[in-house]
Amino acid sequence: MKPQDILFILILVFLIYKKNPKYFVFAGLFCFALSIPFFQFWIFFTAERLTWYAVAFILSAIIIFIADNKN
Amino acid sequence: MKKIIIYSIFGCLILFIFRNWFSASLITGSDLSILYKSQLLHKSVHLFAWETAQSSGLGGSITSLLWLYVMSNTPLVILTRIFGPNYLLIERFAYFYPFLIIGIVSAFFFAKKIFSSIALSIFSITIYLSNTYILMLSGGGQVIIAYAYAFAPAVLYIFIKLYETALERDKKIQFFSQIILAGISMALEILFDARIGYIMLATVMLYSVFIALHRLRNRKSYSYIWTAHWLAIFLPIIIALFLHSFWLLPTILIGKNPVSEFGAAYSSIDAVKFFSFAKFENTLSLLHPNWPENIFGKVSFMKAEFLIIPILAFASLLFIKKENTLAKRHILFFALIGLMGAFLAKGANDPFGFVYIWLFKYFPGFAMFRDSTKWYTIVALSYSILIPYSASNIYSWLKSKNKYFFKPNIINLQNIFAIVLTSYFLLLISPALFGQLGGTFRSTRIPREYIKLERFLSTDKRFYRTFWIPRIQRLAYFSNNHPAIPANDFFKVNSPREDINSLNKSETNNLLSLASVRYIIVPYDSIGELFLTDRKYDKNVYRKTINEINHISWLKKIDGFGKIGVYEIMNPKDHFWSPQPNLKINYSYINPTKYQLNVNSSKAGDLLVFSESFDKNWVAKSADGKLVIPSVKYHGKYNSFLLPKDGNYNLEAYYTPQKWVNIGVIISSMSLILICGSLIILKRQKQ
Repeated sequence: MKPQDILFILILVFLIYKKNPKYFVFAGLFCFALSIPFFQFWIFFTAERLTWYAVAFILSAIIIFIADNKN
Repeated sequence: MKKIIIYSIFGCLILFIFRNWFSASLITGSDLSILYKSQLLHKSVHLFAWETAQSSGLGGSITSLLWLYVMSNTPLVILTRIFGPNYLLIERFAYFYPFLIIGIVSAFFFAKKIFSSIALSIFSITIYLSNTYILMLSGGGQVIIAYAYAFAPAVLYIFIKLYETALERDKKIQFFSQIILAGISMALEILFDARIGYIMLATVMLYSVFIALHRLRNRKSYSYIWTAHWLAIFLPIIIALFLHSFWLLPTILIGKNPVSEFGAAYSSIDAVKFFSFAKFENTLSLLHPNWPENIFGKVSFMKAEFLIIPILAFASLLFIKKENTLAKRHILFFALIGLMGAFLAKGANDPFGFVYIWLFKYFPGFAMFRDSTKWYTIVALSYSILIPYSASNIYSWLKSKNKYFFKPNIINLQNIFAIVLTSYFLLLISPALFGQLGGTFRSTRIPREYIKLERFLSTDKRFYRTFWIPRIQRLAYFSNNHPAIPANDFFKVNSPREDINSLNKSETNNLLSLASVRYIIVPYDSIGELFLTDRKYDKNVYRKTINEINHISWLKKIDGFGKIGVYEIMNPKDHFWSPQPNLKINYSYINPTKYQLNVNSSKAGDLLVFSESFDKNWVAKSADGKLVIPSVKYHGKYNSFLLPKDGNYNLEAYYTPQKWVNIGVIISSMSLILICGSLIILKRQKQ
């Protein structure tokens, strides 16, 4: 497990504790944005990981939104 | 006035991107060969279970692909009647213009269902019709798949409407009309492309579950909601299945897995891994892995600027709190299918690539997706909704912030955002705007050599095959009477060098003779896609191939075809022939599944060889049907019939699954009449 994976898990646990889907979306968008310079400078391993983390955050947000989606 | 300006800008942009389609020159793509006059005049709307061009030119069953033949042949036959055999006009009206019209209309109605704003709907169509995936797809000449892609939003639109009426107890007639419409739309989508049809089926089922679960949580009439949703899913599927009986019935009755029939290149896990060109970052960014060169297998490094696309798309989730539940559900649904589409479109690549492989191996129907990029369709569908939604909310948000900054009418925050966003999207597709895309976005010229070769072959009434080294050029002529064999497929190799090595083997002359090959052709690679070194045209490879073939003793060079090398093989076998010299055979071609034969002077145990790929469903039967001779394998590859007694025979060689195709066509036609009749009756009752 790489340091970035550990950081991702820590943030994910923290966000799950907070349960606010918007925080997940922000984290996901931030990961996407952060991956841009990594791709630009051909640091592909970290860049790819960041897009995966982004998807994990966005998916978590969608699940929480759906779970909360009551009239 | 505002509407006219929006429509005009959109129209100009689409016209500019696809400008080559409106030129007066010939268009081809790597998957779109040209059709000569003689080929157009022989096109037919009749459906046959056997196709001479299948199995690399040696003939094969096509029952599982008949839907494709309906869509590729019917427009050609109709338009040949209207325009005459003018391929320049026909290819435009058969493929390119319908794609644009269907795409614009279908995406517009779909977007209008989600947004009420015209501007957002137009933005949505622009994303849907000018992203890198569809530009590569249409540029590569995959026109029928492009049809399916264009029609996909209409399918979703019709199903969304269906689920809306599903719960209104006082609109039962409307509900059943919608079910029929949904069934017809699904049937059409499968007709355009069965794989995209499958993707859309998965999408509408997911939508139904999504909506049903929400409704179940908020209402008490559980049984009514479940019943309505089950009906709204399964009745359209049943209608679509009945309309597709013409290929489903024979495919089921033949009882073989149609994908495994095409060989390991289509059904193996290695093939799935090989064809997983797109990485997760590509699919999430709606970036086709071959953009912009569109060279098969050449995947470029990730273009970082495309990652703003998923940021824009998923930023939509930040704005849904203020929405009513329906709009919120839509955004959540599209975000979910966007992720799902991106995950599947990357195929066997990380992360969790084993999921795709498991689905390919075990999930019903998933075996069609050797090439996972078809799943880009739902990413495009999703982003065409999410991005305009985000953009409009960001625009409104910036507008609300203007009071804190500056408030001029034209140069303000929201307008700067609109300009930056437009410029960004134009920058992404700049290769299309600057004419740097190939395929159908570039004009093609037919060299004189090819016209001469077409005349030479089409006027020769004898049956034989042509053998193309390394493979068939897209300007090549072929027909049922002269099927073309790609050498790479025949020898199972990958380069002209290996083809020559195979040709130099002692047994090759006999192998080609058995395959009824009369001419070996080394094409003039005028488009530069056959003789390659590092994926670029290399004329030395072409020259070397020609030089080496010139030295093969059993080939005789035919002059007069310029840069196309044509070599004749002496005494190739006929379509029907016998190893016993006493046998006298006369035959006539009726259609690809039927031949009339007169066999004279035969002795018991004589063999009648039919040089098409072996299929146990071929039989030779007498006119009265009393004698039925099954096909047995000859030389490991071809059909043959063992004649049981001395004497003369009047036989019919017949591919038996054709009778199931005929029954299937009747069921499909009757279903269509019944469904249309029901729709008319329901409409009248509603009035």
